[in-house]
Amino acid sequence: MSQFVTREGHGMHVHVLPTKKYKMTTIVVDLVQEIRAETVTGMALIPYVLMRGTKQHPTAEKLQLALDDLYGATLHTAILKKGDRQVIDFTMSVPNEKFLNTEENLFEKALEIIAGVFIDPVTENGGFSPEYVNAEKEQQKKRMAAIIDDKNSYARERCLEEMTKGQPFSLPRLGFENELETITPQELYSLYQKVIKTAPTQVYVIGDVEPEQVFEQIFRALGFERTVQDLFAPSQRAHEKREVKRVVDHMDVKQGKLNVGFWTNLDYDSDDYCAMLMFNGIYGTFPHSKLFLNVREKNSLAYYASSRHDGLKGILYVQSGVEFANMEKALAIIVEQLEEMKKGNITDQELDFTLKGYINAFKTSLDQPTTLADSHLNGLVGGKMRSHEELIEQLQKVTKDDIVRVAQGVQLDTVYMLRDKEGESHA
Amino acid sequence: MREMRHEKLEISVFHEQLSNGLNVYVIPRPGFQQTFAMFSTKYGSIDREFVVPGEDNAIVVPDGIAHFLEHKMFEQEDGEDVFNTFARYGGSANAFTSFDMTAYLYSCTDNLAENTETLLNFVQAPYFTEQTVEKEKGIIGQEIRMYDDDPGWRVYFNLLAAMYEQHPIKIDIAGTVESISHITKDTLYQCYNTFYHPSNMNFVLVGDVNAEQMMTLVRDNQAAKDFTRQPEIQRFFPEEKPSADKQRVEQHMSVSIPKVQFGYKDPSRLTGRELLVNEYSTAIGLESIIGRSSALFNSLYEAGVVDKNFGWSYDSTPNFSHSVFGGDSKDPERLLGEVEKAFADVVKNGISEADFKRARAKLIGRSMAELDSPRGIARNFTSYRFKDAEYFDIVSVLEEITLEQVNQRLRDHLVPDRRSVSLVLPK
Repeated sequence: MSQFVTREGHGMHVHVLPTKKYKMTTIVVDLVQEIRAETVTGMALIPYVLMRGTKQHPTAEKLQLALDDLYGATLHTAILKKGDRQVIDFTMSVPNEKFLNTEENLFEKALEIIAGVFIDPVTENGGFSPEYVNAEKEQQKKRMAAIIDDKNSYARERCLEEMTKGQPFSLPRLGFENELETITPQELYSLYQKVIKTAPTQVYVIGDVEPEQVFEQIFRALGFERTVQDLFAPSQRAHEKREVKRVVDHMDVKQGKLNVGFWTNLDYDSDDYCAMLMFNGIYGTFPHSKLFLNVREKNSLAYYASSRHDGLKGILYVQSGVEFANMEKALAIIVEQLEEMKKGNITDQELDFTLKGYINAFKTSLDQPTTLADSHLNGLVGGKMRSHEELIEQLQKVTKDDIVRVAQGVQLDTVYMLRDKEGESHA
Repeated sequence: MREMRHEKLEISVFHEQLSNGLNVYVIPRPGFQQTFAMFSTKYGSIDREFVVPGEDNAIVVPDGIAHFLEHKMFEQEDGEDVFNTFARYGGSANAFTSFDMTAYLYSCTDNLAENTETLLNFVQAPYFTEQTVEKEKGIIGQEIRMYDDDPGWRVYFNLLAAMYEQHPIKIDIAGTVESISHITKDTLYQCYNTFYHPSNMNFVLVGDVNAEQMMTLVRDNQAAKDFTRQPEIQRFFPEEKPSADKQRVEQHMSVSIPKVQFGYKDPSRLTGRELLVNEYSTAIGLESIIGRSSALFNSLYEAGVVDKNFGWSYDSTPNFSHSVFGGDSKDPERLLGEVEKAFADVVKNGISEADFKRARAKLIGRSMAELDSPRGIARNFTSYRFKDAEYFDIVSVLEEITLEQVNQRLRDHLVPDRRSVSLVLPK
């Protein structure tokens, strides 16, 4: 299996994966920062302001025209939350011209566009354009408000927020509405200048490309003087043991959303990381898992009931959508199935199916360029690189005893319910 | 076995129609880890009135039954859930039901033969009992409730219900809690026996495979089963008037910002290359007038009337055709007013040569991007096969479309009395 070829220069790490299998070329640029209350709101606004225009393509319309002219190349900027880190992400995808009736060098032109957005945004009086900043503040307020429109993700975010209250992780991905007002275009610009000059910067290029040539092109297009500061506070995974926290929100909904948060008490770089993956797979990730089987198949309580593992933060959470009257019953099953695992009630078949399921999932992810870049970045953020081959090898060594051991460290922390208004007075 | 080569795209399709009528397509994609296979029937939520083979009169079945049947196919006579059978071979299985097709699929990186046999065998061995049918009603009931709380889903189905007066496309794919209560094991068998004959199905496999080997495997599997040839299925659809049934519908939900969708009913009922020409000349036109780089989209975005999730789509099938535009908007009336003006103008004056070329290049690039996903290829290839159209012809069709064709399509499509508007408004 092919691996990234990495070159360091200009304060950047450039990772190139040459492969003949894609018709497109993918370029990803990631700037990693600590998530902090003082900067979370500004950081989250920056990616949107950058997409308003560059010196060369000074409006959103002109920028989009330039992308469309490259056979519909796409460029997205986003703010990501990874454990206690915040990442400004640029992801670009451009067709490889060899499959088209064109003589243009689309990759070279794509690099010019991404470089413009990254380094040369429209500025005015030493700040971002006030017009663009104000317009994006308005859009950002709507994005913040719209979080409530998707009930599944709203319930998940609320559960994690309640669980991690007081920690940097609980800061909302988009920041705070009341702080938007006070940020000036100059402050935002100087925050961004600081970020691009100091943040550890990873660049990924995946496609039918020649690495040496790509290194040269990337350093030329994106390179400038940087002094990288990467001494971040370690991610906070320890926590106080406490009584289970129960939170109920009421809203005009037809289905109850049940979310349960657990601490895994495990570091990302732990040798037990793969045992935790196996635990999560058996508990609630696959269709053969205990949650799917017991909440959905045996008791017909839900259409979905699944667990996810956030290894960067040491959190495991369960999501399900159930009738209001059945929420306690579903919760009891979710808790009971964890207890079963702590007691060692794990079959050889569960072990076998879960191992095969992960091997399939990891190999499949090698087909997705953005997933390749993302899991590489997770390794950097988490402080432990594990290639897909290593992961598979380590998963194969996990025993039932290992899984029981990590299961015993899993601790129920927060139960969150989103339900109708009827139950409000009784809650 | 016949090879169809698409030279410029460097893709071949290997095809064979088996003696039982099943069409098998193998599409090699060297370098990919995963193999993706899809076994599909040309049967979806709109097929509610038909003649069961061997009977004389047409029957009308409960709404949501195609989707219900899809769920029930995962149960097997020996009691093992099909998900477990796939899990044994490391395959990841799934299924979906749309308006006009039902698909069963797996992706795997190992045990290709076993996973393929499993897929072919479970879809061809229905097993329903009254008891398991009743159990499924609880699970699907929760799936329906989940969509009831999803404003994006509601605004879309409300739009279809407004556009169409009679056509069953206006019915939710999963039906309602009431309609599925009428489903029995006997109605499920009636639907199965009508629509799951190999002559009404396709098998499509995409991956780094040897086409001859895969074809032999499918051929041998089918030859061992006893299928008598089935005559053409008689399906009935009500007469639908060309104009929109209702101009406007509204629903109030707990959302932060209005969701708006509007669209035009289209009398096009095409198949084959004609369908592709119709679909992609409409697409070039709509992308030009309201795509991301259009003057219209950008003036609406600048004014804060739409956000970047605003988009358009055009569905064209032998049975129904319509466009849908929409997203979130704080001012739906202004959005609708400005769009109406701009559309009237484009119907009168047409789009420019430059906009035409750009939109065409963009759509060419976007269809190339789909080729990097085995899942995307299998899904689109299957869907176009059911319309007798060739998925890999899209780029060549796009290259042949002229500006005049596009302007004619816009005049034919954007007819004011065929427009409906659907709004989901905050409570």
